[in-house]
Amino acid sequence: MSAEDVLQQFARSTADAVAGVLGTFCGEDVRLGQVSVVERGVEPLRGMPTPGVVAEVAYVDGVTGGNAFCLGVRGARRLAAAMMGADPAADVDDEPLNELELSAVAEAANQMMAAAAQATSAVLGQEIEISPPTTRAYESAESAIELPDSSAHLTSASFTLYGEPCRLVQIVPTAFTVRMTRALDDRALELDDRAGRAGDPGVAAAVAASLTEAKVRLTAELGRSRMPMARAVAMPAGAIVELDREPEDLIDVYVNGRHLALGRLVITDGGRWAVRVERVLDAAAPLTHDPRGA
Amino acid sequence: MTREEREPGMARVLVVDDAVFMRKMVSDALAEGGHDIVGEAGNGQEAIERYQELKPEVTTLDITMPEMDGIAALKAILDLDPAARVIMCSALGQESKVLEAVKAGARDFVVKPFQAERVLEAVGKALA
Repeated sequence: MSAEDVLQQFARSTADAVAGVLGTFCGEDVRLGQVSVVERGVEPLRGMPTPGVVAEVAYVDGVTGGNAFCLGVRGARRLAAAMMGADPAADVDDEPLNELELSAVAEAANQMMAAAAQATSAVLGQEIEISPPTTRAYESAESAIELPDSSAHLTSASFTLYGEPCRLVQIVPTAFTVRMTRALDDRALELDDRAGRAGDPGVAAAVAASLTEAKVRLTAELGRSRMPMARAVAMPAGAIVELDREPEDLIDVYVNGRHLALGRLVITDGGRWAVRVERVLDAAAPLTHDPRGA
Repeated sequence: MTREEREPGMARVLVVDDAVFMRKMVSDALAEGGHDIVGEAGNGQEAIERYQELKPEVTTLDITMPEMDGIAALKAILDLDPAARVIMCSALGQESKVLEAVKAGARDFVVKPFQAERVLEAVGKALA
């Protein structure tokens, strides 16, 4: 597996984990856009709004490397509002963030990177710990993050939250890329051996094979609703919550949080709920946590 | 208010997290549920000091914190008071830390991002 492939795969798994956590805060208003390996000499935060805020979380113990989650002040303010149960769609300004807002962004980064570390440790077969987050405001996107090692690779994943751009930049030291490559190749060879095909040069094929064996979680979603946290917390038994779907609408099928298909709820002969898949979505399309709005 | 005067099931709680945002979320959820937030701390060292000073009935303790992390603080608190009721708060992917904490004597744990209900339930269980 080439270093470029490994980086791309690493960037993608991190981005998916991050999108999943952002989805818990912002529901359907999270979109994952481009995920890429940043070319040398390209400014990773090019085009990001200013002023902004960056929350950095480092990997410690297990592996080295850094993660910088950047967003404009307006995006940060909306994220903080969503996390605190306030209206994230309300008018926001460019005033500096207050302590609570900065702390909310830091906490979001902490939880996102914990989820990403979990995804990475599954590949490396070793638990990875993260450092407490640090946050700071920036005036110019060019100087927002320090790149400690010129040989390190950078990956970038772009998201929008409530329409505001944000970006995750990962600083991946060469040593990490080497370890990750080895882990993926080892896993492929292990599978090769198990299948009695030792010596088969198809390492990439074996990686693909290892992925086809992985267990995934499939979820069928009937509908959604939004409400202030206060109402959700105080909801009594017997409360009726209206969902955003008509009885004849198709329902959404997710695989590990990724929207994969639309289907219809049916009952099997055995009397269990089942989903009949009516339409499979384009697997190459950007990940979305809001299938209906996409 | 002394312990005897309070309604049953309500506790004096110390909330420990390095993020002021998380302290507010946990404190608000518990206060809403009728508990009395007697203090807050932003790292493990501060948690130990506040614990000695306030003698809370329940402590919520974040795992990843600067200065001293939640695991070290948990062990120190249990050394001071083996009957301490401590609930750990962790982000995803910290299973081994959570396990270590539970082995060391934490009563329960909640995984972030969490619902207010889950925090209340954990405190309720710790008091039972």
